[in-house]
Amino acid sequence: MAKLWQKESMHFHLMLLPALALVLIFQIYPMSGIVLAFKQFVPTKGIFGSPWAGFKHFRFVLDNPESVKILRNTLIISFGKIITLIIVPVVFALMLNELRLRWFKRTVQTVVYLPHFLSWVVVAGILKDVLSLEGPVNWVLHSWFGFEPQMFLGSNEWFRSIIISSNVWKEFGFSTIIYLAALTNINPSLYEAAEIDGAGRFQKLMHITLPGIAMTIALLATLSLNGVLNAGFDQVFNMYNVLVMESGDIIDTYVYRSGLMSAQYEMATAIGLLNSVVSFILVVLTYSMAYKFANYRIF
Amino acid sequence: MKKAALLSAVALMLVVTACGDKTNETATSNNANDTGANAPANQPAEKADPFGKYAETVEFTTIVNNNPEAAKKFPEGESFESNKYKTYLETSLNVKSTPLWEANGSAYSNKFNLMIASNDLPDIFVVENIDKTPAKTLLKRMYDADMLEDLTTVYEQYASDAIKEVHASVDNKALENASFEGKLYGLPSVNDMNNVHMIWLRQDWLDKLNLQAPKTTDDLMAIAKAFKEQDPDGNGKADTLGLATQGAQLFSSDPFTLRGFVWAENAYPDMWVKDASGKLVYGSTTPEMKTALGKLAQMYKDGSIDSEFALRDGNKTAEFIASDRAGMMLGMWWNPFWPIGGEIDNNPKAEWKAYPIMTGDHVNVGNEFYSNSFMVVKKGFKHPELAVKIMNTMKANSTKKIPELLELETNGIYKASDSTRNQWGLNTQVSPAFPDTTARTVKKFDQIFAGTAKEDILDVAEKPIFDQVKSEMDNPKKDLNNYKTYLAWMEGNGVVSRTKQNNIFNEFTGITPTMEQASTTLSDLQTKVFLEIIMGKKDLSAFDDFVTQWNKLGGEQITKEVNDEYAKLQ
Repeated sequence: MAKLWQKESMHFHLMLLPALALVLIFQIYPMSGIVLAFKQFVPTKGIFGSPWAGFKHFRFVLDNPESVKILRNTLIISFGKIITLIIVPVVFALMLNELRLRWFKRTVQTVVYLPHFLSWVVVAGILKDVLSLEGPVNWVLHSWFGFEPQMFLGSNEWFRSIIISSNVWKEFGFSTIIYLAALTNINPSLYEAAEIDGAGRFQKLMHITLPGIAMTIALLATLSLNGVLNAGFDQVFNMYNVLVMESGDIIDTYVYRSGLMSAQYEMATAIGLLNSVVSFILVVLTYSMAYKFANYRIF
Repeated sequence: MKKAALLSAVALMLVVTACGDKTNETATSNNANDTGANAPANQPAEKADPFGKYAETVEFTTIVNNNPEAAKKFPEGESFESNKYKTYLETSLNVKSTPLWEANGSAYSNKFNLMIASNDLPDIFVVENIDKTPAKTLLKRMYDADMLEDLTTVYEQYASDAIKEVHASVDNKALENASFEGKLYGLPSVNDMNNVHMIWLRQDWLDKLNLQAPKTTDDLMAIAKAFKEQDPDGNGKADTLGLATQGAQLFSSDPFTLRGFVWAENAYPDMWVKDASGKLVYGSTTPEMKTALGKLAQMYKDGSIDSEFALRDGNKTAEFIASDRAGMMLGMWWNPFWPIGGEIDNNPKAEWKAYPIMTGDHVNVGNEFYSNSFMVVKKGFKHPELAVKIMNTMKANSTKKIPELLELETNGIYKASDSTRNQWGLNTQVSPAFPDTTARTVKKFDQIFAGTAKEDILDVAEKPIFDQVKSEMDNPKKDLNNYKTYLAWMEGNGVVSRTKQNNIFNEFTGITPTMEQASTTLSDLQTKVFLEIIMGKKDLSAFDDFVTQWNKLGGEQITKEVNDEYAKLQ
């Protein structure tokens, strides 16, 4: 502690002050709005002047039969997204890494990460047309394979899979870049040594390449877990409809419908707070897991 | 203390009035009334001038709903912030309006809700329906929070005769609707009751298939089936739809919804209606609703409704009409302008006609209350009568009683532009209209064409419409804009004015505590089950389960609360 205030390090601490002030004003202070979740909001009295409501809003959320459904949908969709967004980019990066043609590698890399820059409004519009009863997907399935036309975006069986797979299509190229960067960090002498020992391509992959990027995989997995209750408002909101509420309604869309559109701010805050608490617990858990299994620590 | 202040105010008022000489009279009497406005109604107040100019400029803040579509229609150099209407209002009353913020669409809704939540109201503004929240609910919310000025006295003193006449024509029900505990807190609009949902169809298709004009829902179903199956456009391909409809908002007030159909079956979804015993019930849960859903399910089974209608919204459905693939829709009198207008431009040969969906000898019409918007004044604003004066001016202009503005609209810069834009620098227009305004106009047209009246019975606003209609009748389809106007007025409004209407009102537009919590769940459930029944995914008997579940999830409690509140209002 004494060391902290030593003269020579003092100016560093002073330099930290503006940043600290920013965090206080824009990150910590607005957090006080959380108190709304425990209030019966009266506009004229403001958030802090309104009477307390105790745990009324939380009780309503927990008693609400919708909550189970929404939580289930959120977890399924977001775990689906997390898992696919680990596996697909890793496999893809490994495959690209085996390529020898540099220009081809570059082109593929660019092409697959282009969709990342499209907005979900655009992608959802395209998907709606492509997946409609008269769209190309149904046409191919029907005329080539004889399947009955499916109303993909109106069916509870298909909706989640479409959400997860279209998310992978849009985002995997972006994560691939990170893995490719990690791959360049592996010491080439390891490969040479393995070759001398007579290792084949697959053995090199399993014993050098994969362990080499295991750290990065663990890091990205851990980081993505903090958003486990965030299944992607933009995407779901643009693609869902009443028919798929059963499988597609997630926390964010429910909060939007009940909170903003019906002006139930207290309820929306309560759900948001519950969301954060659960996320926090999950982050702590996964962090300790990452430490235990991958010996990985951020701090 | 209060009493003393009041007495001195009254004394001052008398002195000022007594001293005022002839030339200065207007100004002084206005000043006196500014004081008088806050005095109790039984004070012998000076006769207030509904259009009186203030001696000193009165500044007020407001908000603007700056619809970008409307903005395009401003004449060159004009905008929401600066246009001749706003200037006229400001100079004629000697006021100055400053918008606190401007927004549009969902941004507007969010800002509006936040504005109430943060108690940051402008001085004078208009409360409209925001998304699914009715204007009345917002009004009540602000009244409960004590945010609004009492307008009882200033309305009595300042409302113009034209406005009072309109309110009298609906037995002052609109005013009652804006009152709480006998006091007026918002200046209500009164709407033209031309909310009839009718069948628009391709008469040329109907004639080609040798079918009779539709009268009931059964006729509608038969025609839709024929339009789907019998190749009405004669191109040899099975590419036509039956009834063009959308399921994203089943019973909203937009065109393409199924409102008109279920109303004809005496079902009023999303409305609180009286049952036989005089109690309020939720229209979505009545047995009539079940019958209507059964018929719709039959239509879906017949293929008369597009199989993916549940995933479509109005814009998507409009494409079917515009591309000549659909020849029948449910909508309102103005639909020839949109969406049918697109089709007319595309294929001028199409012949459109409108028919009412009859229930016995009348057509059923579901209505929100007489008014769906209110002009309100923030509590503590010094000149509450200004809101009344603004409304007086809007009303005078809507009946073309302001020569300066009329000149602009007939010969000046507003001649070619659209009158739907925001004109006054407020978020919308609120000018009470007679509940049968358009019907009155069409009746005049009918009389002139029948030769029982001369053209001089038309007022300034009606004349240009009549000219368009007449030139269409003389030269059919020479000018497609005239054709659209003709269709909207003689066909669409013709249905409104010539059919006996049975107007049903939503008897409860407020919000109860349980409603606040459960409404999202209940409306999701309703839309889902109704769509599943129509699409044949569930049997019609699922409706009974829906009612049970609806009651269990809060509907029963809501019905009880609604009836309690309703009883209190009586």
